[in-house]
Amino acid sequence: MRICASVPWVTIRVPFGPREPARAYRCRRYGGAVEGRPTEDAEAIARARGGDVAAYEELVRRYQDVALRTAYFVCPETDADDAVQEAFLKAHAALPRFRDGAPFRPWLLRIVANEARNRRRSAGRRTGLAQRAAEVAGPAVEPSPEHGYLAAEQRTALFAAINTLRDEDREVIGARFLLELNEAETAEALGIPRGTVKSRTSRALGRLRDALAEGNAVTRG
Amino acid sequence: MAEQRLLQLPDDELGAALRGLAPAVAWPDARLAPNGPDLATRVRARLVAAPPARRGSAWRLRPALVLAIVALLVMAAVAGAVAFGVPGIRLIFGDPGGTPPPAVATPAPSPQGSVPPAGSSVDLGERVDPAAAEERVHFPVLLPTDPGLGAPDAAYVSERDEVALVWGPSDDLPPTVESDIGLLIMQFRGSVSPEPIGKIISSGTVVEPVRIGEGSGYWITGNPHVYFYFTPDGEHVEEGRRWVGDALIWQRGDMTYRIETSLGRDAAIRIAESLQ
Repeated sequence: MRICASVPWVTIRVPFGPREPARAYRCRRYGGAVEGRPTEDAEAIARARGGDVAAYEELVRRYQDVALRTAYFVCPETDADDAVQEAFLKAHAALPRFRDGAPFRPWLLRIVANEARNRRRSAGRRTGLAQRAAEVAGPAVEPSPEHGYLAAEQRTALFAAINTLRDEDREVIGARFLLELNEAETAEALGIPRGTVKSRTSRALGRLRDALAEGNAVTRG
Repeated sequence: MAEQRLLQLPDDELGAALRGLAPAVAWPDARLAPNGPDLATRVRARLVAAPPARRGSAWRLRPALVLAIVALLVMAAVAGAVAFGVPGIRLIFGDPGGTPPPAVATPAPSPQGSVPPAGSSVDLGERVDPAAAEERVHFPVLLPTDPGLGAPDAAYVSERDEVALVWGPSDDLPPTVESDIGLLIMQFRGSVSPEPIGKIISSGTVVEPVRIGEGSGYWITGNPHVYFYFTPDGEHVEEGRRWVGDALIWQRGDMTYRIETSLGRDAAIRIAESLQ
């Protein structure tokens, strides 16, 4: 089993049973950043409230990747960076109202999602989720452990299906599966009741199947 | 059929398939350019800069006092982040964090084997004919009169009417932090009210007040830094795509000028004073 030995506080999940053969581990890792423990966040928040800009910068660095990914789900890609910058500035201004002891990430992502929705409304559109260029043709060599069991054409089919979903479905699928937020985090980030997350996720998966079925019909037809 | 297999999966397996998709997504990067400052650095720069609306006439200090305070703040720069506004030019001191670019890299050869225009590796705006740059903006574009420099190799005009004249690297013009730029002269319109220019500068960066003809400016050297400013109507303009190396910045009338060069302070000032 591989673990992230250099970052001991990350979440390590070991799969049980055959359902997730390719995911031997998973770290709370987005891009190059690893998210901190709540105590580290609380310390940075306390210092940032006291006017320590460098402490806030570190907090931003910790969450900038997941924030960008959240915005990317919601608004046009070209607006994502700007939306996240604005969200971090607003979050900084709102730090005095942040409840001590609460998790920072979903609180932040709520602000990010709202900011990104404003931009989506202004733009009147969003862009589709795009595959990394190297992935479109499928891995040329041994598939990586994270997604090796998904064939290239399956990935492409999933991307296409996700991109046909309406905003609400796409957001909940993005939050729950691609960003791997738990139900409570998803509820707070998307601004919906916690009890709604499960049913909304289930409906979104249903509509994803519908979209896959349509894609299948087109492919066969 | 790929879809056929997927749509037969139960919820938990479809969820697992979606989770497996994450590494294949072309997620946006916190750096707008490979060697540029990350989002956290740019957010900090904006926080340190403070909203421009708060700055009023109180910031219009007398030049002598300005120079004295700048000198003081240059010394204070190593101690931590300090923001300072003066008429026309606003300097922000603080460690930008992130990773400055490596020393000059070899430019990647273009696929066709032809040499790309100088400055094309950087997002300076739309490339225009150097002789026609002035037609695109509403101010006179000045050129250095040093015959050794000759005409610029390329010119760009940004969406905000910032003109960039670029000379490619040569024996006389060693490359800057951008390997395809030997000399860069930027020109953009200031305003009658103070138009703050922001720089976020690491503790390894030195800011030196200098005389340029009748006016004054700043020579910034040492560690690469990022640069941004606010327009008179408060819009935040960010040079967030790259780090900047040695630079001279000054104002003349309602215009702001910036030179990036590796030739050193005195040569930069000579070029600045020769602009006509």
